[in-house]
Amino acid sequence: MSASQSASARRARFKPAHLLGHAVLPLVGLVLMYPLVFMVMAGFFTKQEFMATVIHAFPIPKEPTLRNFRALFEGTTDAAVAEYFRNSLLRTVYTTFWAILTSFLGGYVFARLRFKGRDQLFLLLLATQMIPMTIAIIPTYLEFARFPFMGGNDIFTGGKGILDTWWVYLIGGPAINIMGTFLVKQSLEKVPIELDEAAKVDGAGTLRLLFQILFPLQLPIMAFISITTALNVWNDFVTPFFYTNSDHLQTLPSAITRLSSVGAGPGASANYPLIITLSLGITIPALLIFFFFQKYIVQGLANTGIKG
Amino acid sequence: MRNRKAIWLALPLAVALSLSACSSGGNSSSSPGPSEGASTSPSESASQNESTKPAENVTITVLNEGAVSIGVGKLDDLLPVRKKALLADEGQTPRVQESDFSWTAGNAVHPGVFSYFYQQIINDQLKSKNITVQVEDWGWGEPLIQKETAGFLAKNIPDIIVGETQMPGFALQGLLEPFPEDMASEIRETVAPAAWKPMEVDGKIYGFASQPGVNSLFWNKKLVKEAGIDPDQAPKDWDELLANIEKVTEAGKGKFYGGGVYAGPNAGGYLRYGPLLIINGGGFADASGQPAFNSDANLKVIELLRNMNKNHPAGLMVNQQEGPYFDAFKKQQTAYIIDGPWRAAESVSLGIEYGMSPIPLSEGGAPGNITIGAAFHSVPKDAKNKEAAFEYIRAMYSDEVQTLIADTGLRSTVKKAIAEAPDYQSKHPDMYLHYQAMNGNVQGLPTFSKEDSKVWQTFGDAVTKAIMTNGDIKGIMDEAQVKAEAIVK
Repeated sequence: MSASQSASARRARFKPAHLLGHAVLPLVGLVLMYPLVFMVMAGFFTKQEFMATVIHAFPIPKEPTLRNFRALFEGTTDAAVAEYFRNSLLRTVYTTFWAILTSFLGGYVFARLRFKGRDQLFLLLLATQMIPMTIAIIPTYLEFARFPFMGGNDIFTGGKGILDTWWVYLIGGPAINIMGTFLVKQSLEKVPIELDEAAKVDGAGTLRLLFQILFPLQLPIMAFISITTALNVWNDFVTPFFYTNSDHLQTLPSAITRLSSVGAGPGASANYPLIITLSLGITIPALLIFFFFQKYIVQGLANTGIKG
Repeated sequence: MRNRKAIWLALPLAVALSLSACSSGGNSSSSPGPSEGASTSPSESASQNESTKPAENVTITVLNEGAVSIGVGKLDDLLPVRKKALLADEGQTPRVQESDFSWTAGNAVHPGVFSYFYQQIINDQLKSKNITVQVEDWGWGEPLIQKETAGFLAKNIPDIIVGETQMPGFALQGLLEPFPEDMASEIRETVAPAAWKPMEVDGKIYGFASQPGVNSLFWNKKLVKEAGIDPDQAPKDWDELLANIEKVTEAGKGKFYGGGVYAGPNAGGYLRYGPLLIINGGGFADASGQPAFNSDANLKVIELLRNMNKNHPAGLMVNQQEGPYFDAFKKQQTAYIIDGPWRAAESVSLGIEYGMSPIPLSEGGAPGNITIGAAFHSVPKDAKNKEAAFEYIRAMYSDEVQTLIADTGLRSTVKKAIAEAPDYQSKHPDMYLHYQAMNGNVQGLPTFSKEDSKVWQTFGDAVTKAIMTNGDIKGIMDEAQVKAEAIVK
């Protein structure tokens, strides 16, 4: 292609709308970035100065302090941040592992196995998604409190069940990921059944068929399920806040909720710069996960046929 | 069929389904009414054992509240950690010194050390009775109410629970233990009504707040002065208050406003403009507890609120979130505010020169108020250690704790003997005004007989509509009254 040809091709591709788009996009980006920039800058305030300052666009402290950022790594008397980070991480990894397993097995059951009531059971599973989470808080609390033979319970009563123990995360965590099951079912239905039959003819058992033949084909959707589950669990404050009390069981989001709600008590005032900085601590790992793995989200959805 | 071998795969699915489903999972029973409590009342035994030391150590679980919190765990463990943290805290102004940890009654207390002393006194008193205190934090506001409701249903509830507007409702539902008779008599005799009156049901006391507040009028002297008003002079009546507010708004030219009172459709709003209703002879409910939203007295208050709203940044006065309203006063964007006693100490810490007075009266009005910032402590019917829990409440109104509150000066003491001493009146004139208000016509927010939150929402929404629009106030409130009556019918 000659130089004149490529120049005319560039002219042909150029449209005024593109220019407008390129002019608007940085502005949109700026708007989207604003909360993050605000959070970083607010972290340099003391509680007293933040309370007394009228913030017009960006919070600019007169006497910047690194105290809040230090607290993010070292913690404070009221916030053992390292412990909260550890709990958040352990809980996220554990729950994500179970989400992958139950989604895959659940999806396989509904896509491949034929048994009486299969479709009804699947509908029942989907129906549980219609229940708002806030409605489930009290029944789930009761379920944990009545857990048989645990926490001083005789059979169902007498003690506190598994409330305020690691069992809240260990037993509550593996609850089936309905959306994941649905996505794996959709994806598996696109894999020809002949593949299963060929594997069986070659002597593959059920476990080999599942984990050596079908699972590798589902990696993009598994990546999608992992990322969305990890983000949900990382940000979840309801489970630790409602079902545990001890400080050593708190995760970062629930610890922040506590700091905020104590500040909301009668006449007490919350340390907003510290709360904002800790919130930044939650946001950054989640942002990184999304930034590095976003292509899997698109790929995973494309595999299920949901994305057009 | 070979695939049938894989049916076992459905097993984890079924287990997971059962975990994800919302079963009640147990045999929860409905709560008994106040008179049909299944548990034994500790009243008699508590009074008999008041000064006796239990043979075995008892650990009670107590819920935290922000104003006296020193953390979560056993008080014995928390106190030394808190002391170390306070000494190291650069955010304390002035910095806390080792000498601040030695306090003798009658002397000033560093405000940062108040919660430390508060818990230390309670801990010492209870330790002498072989009681150990374990503190838990269940948050505040809506999350706390949800968790307490779940705790009641599961019969897994601490020995002392805390809360504000939800507590009278819990008492009415029969979920709380009435105070032992001797204790109730002592409280009635020696303590200002604001600390217990809102928790009185059928002549029995169900909760106590060690340092409740009532509303007062505060103003920013600098802003008021800029409007040409004498900053040391409190407005005499509602007309003067409104005129002052308008003058400040005019002088502010969009930089600052006159302000007034937060009137959002939530408890934060009802607690603050409620006193205006009471002063003017109105209220939220009639003598029989039925909604009474559209009385002439209430309409006059709502008209005042509508006029005040014009002296705020748009939308601030009825914002769903109360925080921004108080932030505006803290950031010197509004001049007048009706709020609890903590506004005084907070203003000092922010360098705001403030004025303070009882809420002015309307023409023909009489003094009245609503308890605010009252962290009521109660003993649930299902508490495991009721006698020890009542000892905790006894410690809350003990002379030592109440003297500490008086000496700190952030809130008013509720103990009559301490507050009425001439020394207190001369050292803490502002707080003495609060104390006086706590002894007068002080009420709590009523709990409606049916669908309480729905009735409140009806009222709050109607007041917001009346404030934000130019519609006929009487028409709006009449409509709300009809709706509320239909709800409670």
